[in-house]
Amino acid sequence: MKQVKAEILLNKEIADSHFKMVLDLGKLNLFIKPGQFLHIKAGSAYDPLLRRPISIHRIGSNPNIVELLYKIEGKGTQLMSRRSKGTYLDIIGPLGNGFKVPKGQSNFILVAGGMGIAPLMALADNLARFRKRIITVILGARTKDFIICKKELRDIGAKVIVVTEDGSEGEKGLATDVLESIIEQFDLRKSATALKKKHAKGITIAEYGPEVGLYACGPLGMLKAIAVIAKYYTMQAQASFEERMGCGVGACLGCVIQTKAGYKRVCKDGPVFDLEEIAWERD
Amino acid sequence: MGKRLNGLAVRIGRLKFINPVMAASGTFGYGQEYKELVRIDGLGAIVTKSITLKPLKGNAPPRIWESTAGMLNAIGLQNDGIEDFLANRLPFLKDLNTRIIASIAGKCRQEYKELAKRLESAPVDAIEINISCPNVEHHGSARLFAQDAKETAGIVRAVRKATKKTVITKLSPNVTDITEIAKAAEGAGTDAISLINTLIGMDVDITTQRPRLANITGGLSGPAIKPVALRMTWEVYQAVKIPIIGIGGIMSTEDALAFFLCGARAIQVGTANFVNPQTITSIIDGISNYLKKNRLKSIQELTGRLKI
Repeated sequence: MKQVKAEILLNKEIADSHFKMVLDLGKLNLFIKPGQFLHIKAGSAYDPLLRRPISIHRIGSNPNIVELLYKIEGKGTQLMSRRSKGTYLDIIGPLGNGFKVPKGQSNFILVAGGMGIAPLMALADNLARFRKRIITVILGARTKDFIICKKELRDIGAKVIVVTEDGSEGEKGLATDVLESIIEQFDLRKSATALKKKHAKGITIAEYGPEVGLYACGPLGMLKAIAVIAKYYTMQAQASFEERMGCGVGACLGCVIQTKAGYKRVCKDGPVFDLEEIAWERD
Repeated sequence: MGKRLNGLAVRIGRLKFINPVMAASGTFGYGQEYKELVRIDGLGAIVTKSITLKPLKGNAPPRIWESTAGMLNAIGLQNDGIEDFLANRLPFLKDLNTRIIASIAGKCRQEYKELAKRLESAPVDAIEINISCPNVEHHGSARLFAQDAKETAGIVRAVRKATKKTVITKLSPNVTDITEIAKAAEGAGTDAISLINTLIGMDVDITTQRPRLANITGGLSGPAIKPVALRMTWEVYQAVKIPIIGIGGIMSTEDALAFFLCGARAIQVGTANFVNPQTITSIIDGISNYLKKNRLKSIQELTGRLKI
């Protein structure tokens, strides 16, 4: 983690209130993991006062060039959207834990709800660097205008399934509506059966084992639904969470979420958590 | 930066600090969180996140909300307790070339006393008594100990008896007359007073008609509270003889200098650490430059020099 002045190389509106920003972090040789974020001071004034945590969307072949995807939600992102090319942003990063890809995993199902594609694109990019990996991405959006990264994902060899709430493109519904059929489509039950035979006992429902993984980012309701599906299929599932942050480095304890092991910091222990860790009772 | 920062050293109680700029409790963790971003060895002191006897899980989220030029927080003193502090946090802190001030919080006099005892043989330089956290429930009549002169004096006396270390008492601004509490703490033997803790506030989401914080109310910090903090520093400076550590919305060298003029011998930087972790180091450099420019031998010459 470092604090630097990052040069804005591009800041462009790609859909209504949705922006893509490219930053040059300088010659830092930072090792950035998909799922990590930057803590950004959008302006120098005291309103807004705090930094804004923004997921790293893509990491360039030169790892000092990173792409962010953000949506105007309030004063901070509003200010960011007005910053012009060639100016500098005060950033701290990379922060957070990032996604972890277990060894031997070969099937990856990524579920993005709306802006949830922001950190998942970096993960898809990373996964696609290795052959023999099957990447399927469910892109859920309100309407076809907010489907982001469809082409980029196809370019890297991922299978993309589009779901829109109004049915203006792809299937009509929510990202989670198609998730189960996607899981079936992979014919994973076959390998599950094989696995079941292998172990002979103790497995009551389809046991996918570590070769299939679910990765998600999106609204809490979506993540909760995915947690239920992952539990049913005993699939390994990770999700990137969002919370309002103070320090971003684990000091202020302002951004905690409730897990089965107590409150955990989204900025430091997360933002990526195993979905089975999360305690959903409060909702 | 020069090796010797002449004129910046200050004395509080029996302790000498290399400079008067400290990281405020709750905003700098246990130092380790910031080690990659800040040159910690140059800081005047680190005041730890408040330590309690037993681990505290803290309040339900959401715990923070940003307001105009400030932020509300209701963390609820989440920490892993004194045992964890001694075993897991202190090893990193003790090797730093900076003063370590352990902030302690208890539910009653006895707990403060016990905490002070447990820290007596530990390598911490001083104790800051946090009697002013607005986000936890207390026994006794007043909502905060720091809202009651008798409670304040009782806790300070108990800690004073339990430790030979320098004792700092952190006061709350949520009182009618802060000088009354400051005098009670002074009378009970505190070496210094730090002020202010956060101002109790709240905010509301009109769409959901719910409070922004799960705790309903929280503590307001940041530049928005600086004028209140300056006023209270000035009032307390006129009321007590012991040193004052000024806290409240300090974002810059200019902010810091205003506190010295109002009577502070040292200052603590809090919320600004979140905004820019370089704030403390830049204020240390800024004060140094100010002294040179104004041909002042020591920052201590500035304390209480407000012209009326």
